[in-house]
Amino acid sequence: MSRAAVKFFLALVAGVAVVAGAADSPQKLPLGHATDFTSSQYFEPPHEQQVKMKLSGAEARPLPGGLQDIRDLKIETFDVTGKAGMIVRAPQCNYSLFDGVADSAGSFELESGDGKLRIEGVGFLWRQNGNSLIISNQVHTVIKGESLNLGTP
Amino acid sequence: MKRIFILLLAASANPLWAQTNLPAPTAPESQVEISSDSGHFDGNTRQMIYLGHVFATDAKSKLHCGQLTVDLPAEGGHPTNIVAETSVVIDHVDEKGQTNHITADKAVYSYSVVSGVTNEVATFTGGNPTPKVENQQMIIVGDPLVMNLITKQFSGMNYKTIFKQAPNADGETNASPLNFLK
Repeated sequence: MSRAAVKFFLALVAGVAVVAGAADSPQKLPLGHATDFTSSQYFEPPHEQQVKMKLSGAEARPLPGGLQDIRDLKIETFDVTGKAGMIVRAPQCNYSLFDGVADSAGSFELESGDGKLRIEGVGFLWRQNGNSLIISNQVHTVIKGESLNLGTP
Repeated sequence: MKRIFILLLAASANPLWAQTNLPAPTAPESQVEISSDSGHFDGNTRQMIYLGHVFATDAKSKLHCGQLTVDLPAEGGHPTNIVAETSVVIDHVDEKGQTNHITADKAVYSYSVVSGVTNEVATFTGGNPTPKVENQQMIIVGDPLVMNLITKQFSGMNYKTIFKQAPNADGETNASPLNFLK
């Protein structure tokens, strides 16, 4: 993805700064509407060339109160070596530009980069600054390659 | 309760030149499934909490409780602490095919490696009236009831093992070997 593409969506969502403290530096809100957008955030120096998080969606519509209605949300995180961390998908969510909060009453899924962990649920609230995720209903986790293996006598 | 969430390395490489008409049989990959009414993940403390009707299963075990808290180490790998609370019920089929039924109010699993030595302990507390492990042969009670998952040894306060009498061919239990004391 080119830097120009990055800047395009950054302009749209007013520099969401997906991980690092949007609430600390609120931005001017976008007034437009975008489709098939992607935004990336990079690590601090000396890894400023490495993507830390990539946010993409099929459509983003501005809502009152600094919210964005995002369709087909996909968030990918990476470590400094470029290794995939987590992939989050949601068919729809509202994202608050002011405080970096995403929520939805719809379905949600999170998958680790190595595919060993998968969490699904219905309804979620994600606070990026607090680094917390609440899943409201029907939580289902699958951990591959693991075992409860209760070795009773 | 040995080796909760032990990572099993699955080697699944099939060389392209080793083609046969039938696929080679492979052992199904183990996996743990956890379902609950709701959940909360705190990325700062790396703690996942499952709330309400928590049900965890794998191929041999079923765990049911009201709340399950899993602490994940920052560097990844083995969970260091797992706490199951509120009406904890565990059914585990052991190597002999025997079902072990465990009940307690709370079960705490802890894992650590100190000076190259792995410590893995499960501690059961509370229950009706105490934690209990029951299978066809025996009942073990104690509060707390502590199981060393490395040595598979139980210990605890007010620890008691009750051996069950096996029924004979007529479906009756044999006379107690302690009857001469009567």
